[in-house]
Amino acid sequence: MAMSTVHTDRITVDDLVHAGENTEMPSYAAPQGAALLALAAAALLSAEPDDGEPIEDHDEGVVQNLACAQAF
Amino acid sequence: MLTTSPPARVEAATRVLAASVTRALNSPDHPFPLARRVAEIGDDGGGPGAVRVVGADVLAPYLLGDRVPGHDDIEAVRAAVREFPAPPPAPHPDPVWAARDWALVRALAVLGVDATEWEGVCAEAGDGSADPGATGSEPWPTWAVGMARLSTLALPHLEGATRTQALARRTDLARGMARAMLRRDHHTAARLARWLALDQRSAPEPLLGSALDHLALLGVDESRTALEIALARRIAQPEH
Repeated sequence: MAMSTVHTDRITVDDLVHAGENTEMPSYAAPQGAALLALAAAALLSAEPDDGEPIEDHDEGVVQNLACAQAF
Repeated sequence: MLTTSPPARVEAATRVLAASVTRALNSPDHPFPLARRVAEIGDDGGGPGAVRVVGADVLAPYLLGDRVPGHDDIEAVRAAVREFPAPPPAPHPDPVWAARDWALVRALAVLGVDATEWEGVCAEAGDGSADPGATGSEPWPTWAVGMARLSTLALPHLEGATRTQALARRTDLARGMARAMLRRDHHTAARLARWLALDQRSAPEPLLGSALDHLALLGVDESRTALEIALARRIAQPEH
C-alpha cells in the first residue's frame, strides 16, 4: 500500500476514533447554543401559530425541545 | 473486499465490521471468526482500520458470550494495532486513544491475552476521564458528549474511573441521551444508552427500554448505531 494511502487511512481512523456528537444538527441544539435556544424559544412564544398549528409543533418543534430542557 | 477509495474505504469497512459484530451479538449461537471477517473486508487498511475504530467492541462477541477467539482472531487485532498505532504520547498524550487502548488491553486480558507490550498500543494507556482535564464537574452537555466518545469503555469487565463517573452521573447520562435524541443524533444517543445499560440493574433508568426501542426504529440503518444498541441490550441482560 502506498505511503500516502496509509497516511490517509490513519487520519481517517483518528477522525472516526475522535468522533463526538453530530455537528450537523440544528445550531440551537448544540451545547454552546443554549442561549440561542432560549432566544429562539422566547421569540416563538410571542409568535402566532400558523393555521391553527399547536404552538408546541411550530418551527420544527423547537418549543418542545425547550420544554424538555426545562424538565431537566 | 471493499474497493472504495480512502477515506471512504475505512468508513465503509467500519460499517461492515460493526454490522458483523452486531449480527454476532444478536445470534450468540453462531460462530464469529473475526480474522476471516477482517480479511473479507480487506487487509489493505480497510479491515485493520475498522478494527481500530470499533476498538474493544470487536471482542464483545467473545466477552459477552461463550465464544472463544482463535489465535488468528487475536493476531488480526494485533496486526490492526500495529498498522494503526496510537499517536505518540509526546508532546501531549491523547486521552481518547489512551482510554480506548486501556479498554482494548483490559478486554484482551479477560480473554487471557497480554497486550501491554504490543507494538502500537498507546504507551500512556489508562482509564482517565471523558475529556482532557475533566474533573467530573463539567456541565452535563459537554460531559455527556465526552462519555459518548468513550462508549467502547462501557463493557461489564472494564472497571475504572470512567465507569465510576458514569455511575455517579447517571442523571446527566439520561439528559445527554434525551438531548441527543431530540437532535436526531441517534449514534450519540445509543452510545449514552449503552452507558446507562451498564449499571441498569443496580441503578435502574426507567427511560432506557423505551429509548432503545425508539433508537432501534430510527437508527437501525446506521450500523455503528445498531452495534451500540445491540451492546446496550446485551449488557443490560441479567447474566452480565
